[in-house]
Order: sequence, then structure tokens, then C-alpha cells
Amino acid sequence: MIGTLSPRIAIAVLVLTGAACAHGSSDWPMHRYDAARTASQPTNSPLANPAGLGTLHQVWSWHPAAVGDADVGATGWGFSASPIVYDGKVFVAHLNGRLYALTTAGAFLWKYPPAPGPGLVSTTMCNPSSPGIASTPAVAAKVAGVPAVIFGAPDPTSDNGDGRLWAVNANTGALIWKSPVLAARTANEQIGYDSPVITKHRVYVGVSNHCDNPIIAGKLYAVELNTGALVAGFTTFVAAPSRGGGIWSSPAATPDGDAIITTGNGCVAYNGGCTTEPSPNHALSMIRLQRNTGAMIWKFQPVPWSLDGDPDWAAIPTVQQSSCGHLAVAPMKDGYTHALKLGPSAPTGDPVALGLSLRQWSFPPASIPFTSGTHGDTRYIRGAAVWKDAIYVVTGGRDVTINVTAGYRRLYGLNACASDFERVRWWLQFPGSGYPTMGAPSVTRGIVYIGTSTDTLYAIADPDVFPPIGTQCDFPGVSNAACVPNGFRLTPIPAILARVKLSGSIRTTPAIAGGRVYVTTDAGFVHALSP
Amino acid sequence: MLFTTRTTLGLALATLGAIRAQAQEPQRPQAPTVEYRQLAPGVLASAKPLFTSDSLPGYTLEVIDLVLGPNQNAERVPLEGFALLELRAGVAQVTINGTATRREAGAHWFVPRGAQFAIRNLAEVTMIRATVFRPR
Repeated sequence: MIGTLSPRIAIAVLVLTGAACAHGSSDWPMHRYDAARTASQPTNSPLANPAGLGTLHQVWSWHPAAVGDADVGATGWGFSASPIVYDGKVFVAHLNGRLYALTTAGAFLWKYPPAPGPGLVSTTMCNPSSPGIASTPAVAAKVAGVPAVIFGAPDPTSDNGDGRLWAVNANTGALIWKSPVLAARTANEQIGYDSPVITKHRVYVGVSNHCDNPIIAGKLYAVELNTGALVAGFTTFVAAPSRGGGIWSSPAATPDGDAIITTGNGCVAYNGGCTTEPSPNHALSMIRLQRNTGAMIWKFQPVPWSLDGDPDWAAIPTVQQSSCGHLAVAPMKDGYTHALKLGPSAPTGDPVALGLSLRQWSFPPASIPFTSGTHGDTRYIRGAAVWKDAIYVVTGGRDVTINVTAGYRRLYGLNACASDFERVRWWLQFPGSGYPTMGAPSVTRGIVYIGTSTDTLYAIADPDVFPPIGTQCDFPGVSNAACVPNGFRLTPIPAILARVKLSGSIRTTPAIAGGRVYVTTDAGFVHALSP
Repeated sequence: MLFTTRTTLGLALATLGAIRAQAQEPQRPQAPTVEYRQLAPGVLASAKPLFTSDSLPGYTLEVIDLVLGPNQNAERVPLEGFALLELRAGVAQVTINGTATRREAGAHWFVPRGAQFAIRNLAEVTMIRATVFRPR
């Protein structure tokens, strides 16, 4: 978006938003790169040069044990958060409750909270979203005159782990502010996997729960970037009267600062005790909220309450600037990926009708809202990366209704602006198993980086930037000979330019910055690689 | 040089990380685990049954998936025995012994033994799960 503007305009936009400027620099200042969550690094570097990627190798790695902090065994699970990079520093949050700052050369700078105090942990633990800092921080260029790292975490001094946003000085690790309690532990609320997004001098963050035990009503808060106070005039979004619609993903922001969110499962009989549909029921939806008031502009709810088998919309939405306009794109747990036009920036009539009218496509193609089928707790939970009109996403494919888990091992390239027939740009299947197998993709100028549960980081070349190695049918499992006669399309097989074995399973987003790719693993390492 | 326990542990872990970070030769992608064969003109079927059982007296039970791509019309779908079918995705015109019925996702129907069975895909892709009871 801003990358296509002049430097003068880009600087003006930076000043207006308050966010650290990703565009025009080689930083990676927040989860999935920017407020639009594009996971796309536009700055040229050796990581975007297909010819040189055969030498991709580790430059350094770092583990919290180097500064005496626990990993597996104490709180477990290593890194759930992805690294971010800003102004020569790498910031990464750990499930042990610490935020670490390293230099881009791998040297430790500081941690928050500093030793010897306890980490930011909750006494409620059920899965990797619970114990410490599960979500990726974000950097603001200036808070109280200094660059600041903003993150969500439990506060052990507040009811053993109420969730708050925190802002610390990016240079020193000193605390700047703590927000009010946003997630009450005794109400089973948590910030969990939700990474804050910074836009227009505010921070959006969502609230989910601990393991649906019990589910709670999801919420989206808007917090003042400079103070941590709730934004006046912005009504906190609440997804349901009592239970349902937790925000397990992270909000994205439109170019004008509205929030795009995806919500989790609703209150049903087997989960939450609802024998009739709650009203309102904003669960299982992609929603646009107006930035000044928090009013709902549109809601897109493909799986109705009657079919709610817990297909949380757990993947972060991506706002894509494509040749067919701005799109909001995200896969849902049931394996379908949906794309909507952004639409108007103010409420106009019925949000549900508007949401349906804004749908551009679903992949695989489907009539929406669904009237049948299984829409359950399968694991399509990774956000998409976008580059030009391409969308890179771990999603169910054309065979999702008959082989719903097959897509756990596949990365798809989709064409955002094509017809349903030409939606598949390419697909790749990877070795391994897992629930899911793949981490979330990142891209730089057509080179896609993605990690897997086999501890491996891959670099894949979109066929627009490097010749494919062959063709295969867009319907997986159909031979090339049978493909076209049965009405399907042959699609290119992109080249895998590099694969590098790392220390553990990768369920995070590789950060591409300054000619290096930074990756966190379940084994608790941060790795830096370059060609 | 004096190493503290903490430093030594950190270095050991860093070394482990370095050892495990090894570049490997690029590779071809893996093939899908489920493959499809041409059952008849216009219709593909799982190359291998998803499930099979001989526990029913006189019959072999097989579960297979049928797939019809865009604009496909299978005028004769050869199912040995009788079958219970479920439309998992898409929309189809199903014709059994000359009687045509429009079926949408979620529909179930039965095909008697020896029936003439045809499927016309009316959607982008139509997928049907068939439980076939084949005489032994």
C-alpha cells in the first residue's frame, strides 16, 4: 500500500498512524509485517533472489537458557510467538513470560520483566496460548518520545494472570505503560494468541479464553497508543450476550484504521449450554468495525449457528491490495478460505446483508452461508501472505469435503482476482505430520518462506519469479493425463529453492528483515538465516 | 576463560541449534496420499477404497469417493451391487433408471443393484461419498 507512494507521503502516513514504518524499510515491525497483516516484505534483499538461495544457512541461533531462563520443562512449548525486527533489534516473546530483545547479530540486549522478578505468567494453563506470552509483539515508532514494543500478556500481580497490554521502551526494556485489565482471568478470559495491531495512534487487541472451558464472549478493545487507556468513543466489541465468538486470531487494520477481526465458535448446546442461538451471535464471523465508534460495518458468517461444530475462525485476516481492489482474506478452521471486498468505511444498513454482498469468492467454491456439511475443529489456523495478486495460504483444497485434513500439509498459491476455475495458482504438499503440519507463510517479492512440523524452513519460488519444475492438476490426486479431460486445470509446480533443518517444529511466521529471515521454534530457539 | 554454568548451558544449546540448522538439497514436492482414477467417462473415483470390509455375509462393503469436475457428465456410473451415496459438495443431477433428481450438498440417496445410474455435475466440482455393497 504505502510502498507505492512517494517517500514524502510515506513519512506523512507514518506520522499519522503512529506505527513503526514497515514500508520503505527492511524492518518487520509487527506480527505478519504490517497492520494489513500482509506478511510481505517488499524491500529487495538476497532473500528475494532465487539464484542465491541454495546457500541459505543459519547465521546464529539463540535460546533463553543463555540468560538463565526456563524453556521446556518449566512452562513448556518454546516459542508460540514470531520474531519482529526493528531498527537493528529482534524482539521475541516467550511462553515463559519474558519479552527478549536481541541485536540482529544475535547478542542479548534486555528482557522484560528483568531478572530476578517473575515472568508474565498466568496460573491458568491449558494449552500453548495460556501460560506466558503467546502472541507476537508490535513496535511503535514513538510512545512517550521513544520507540516502544507493545504486547499482550498475563499480569501475575493482578489476580494471578489478568490479561493486559504492555508498552516497554524498545531501547532499554523499561516499562512505559500497562493498559487496564482487558482479559479477566477469573472470567476465563485471556489475550492468548492475539497479537496487537497498531494503527492510527491506537492499538487493537482481541480477547479469547482458556481452552473453551468455559467459552466466553469474545471482545475487541481499542487502546490509546500513547497512554494505554481505552480509546474514548470506541465501544468495545462484544461478540455475544454471554458466551461465544472469542477472538483467537489477531486483528488487522484497513488503510483507514478500521479493525478487521475473525471470531471463534459460538455458544451451542455442547459448548456453552445454549439450546437456542444467542442474539446477537457474532461468532464464526469476519467483521469490520469502524475505527471511531467501534460500530459494526459488516459481518460475514459463512457457517450458521446450526452447523457450528467449532470451526473457529482462528486465522488472522489479511488485507490485500490487489488489482481487483482491497480484499480481506482468511482461511477458516473448516478448510475454506474466504475473500471479501473491504466495502464502505461507515455502517450502511444491515451488516449481515452487506457482508454477504461483499464476498468475492470462497475456496474451494461454495454457496454461502453453508446449509450442510461438516464444519468442525479442524486446523486451518494460519493466516495468508499476499504478494501482488497472489495469496499464499495453508487451506483445504478442492478436495476438502472428502479429505479435510489433507490440506494440513499443503501450501496453496491462490489467484485473488481470477475466476473460480483459475483460483489455484499452484500448490505444494510437504512431508511430515502435525496438527497442522505447516507454520504460517511469509513472502518477499515472490519468494515464500514457511516452516513445518518437521523442523524445516522452506524457500519456495512463485513461478512468476523462477521457472516451475513441472505441472500438476489443481485437484490433488488427479493425474496430469486425467486432469484437463475431467474439467480441471494443470498448474505449475513451484521450485523449492532451499530447505534448512532447524531446532524444532515451526508454527510461527518467519520474519524477513535486512536480508535475513528470523524464525522461532517449539524447541525455544530463535534462528537467523541468510543466503 | 571462566564460564558460568549459565553461560555453558547457553553455549551448549546454541551449538545444538547450530548443528541442527543444516541446509539440504532442494527437493520435489510430495505426492498426495489419495489418488483418483477414471471410473467412467466424466467421473473419477478413489484409486483405492477408503474403507473395505468382508464382514457382511455375501457382500464386500467399500467406501469410495466420486469426483466430477467442471461441466462433467457421467452418463453411466458403473457401481457393482447397490450403493448408498452422499453428496458431500456441489450440486448434481442424479438419474436412476431414467428418473432425474436434483441433489444438493448434504443429500443422501440409494442406487439399487443393477440400476442405470448417471450423474451430471451442476456445480464447480461435485464430490460424492459412496458406500457400495458389492456381491462376492
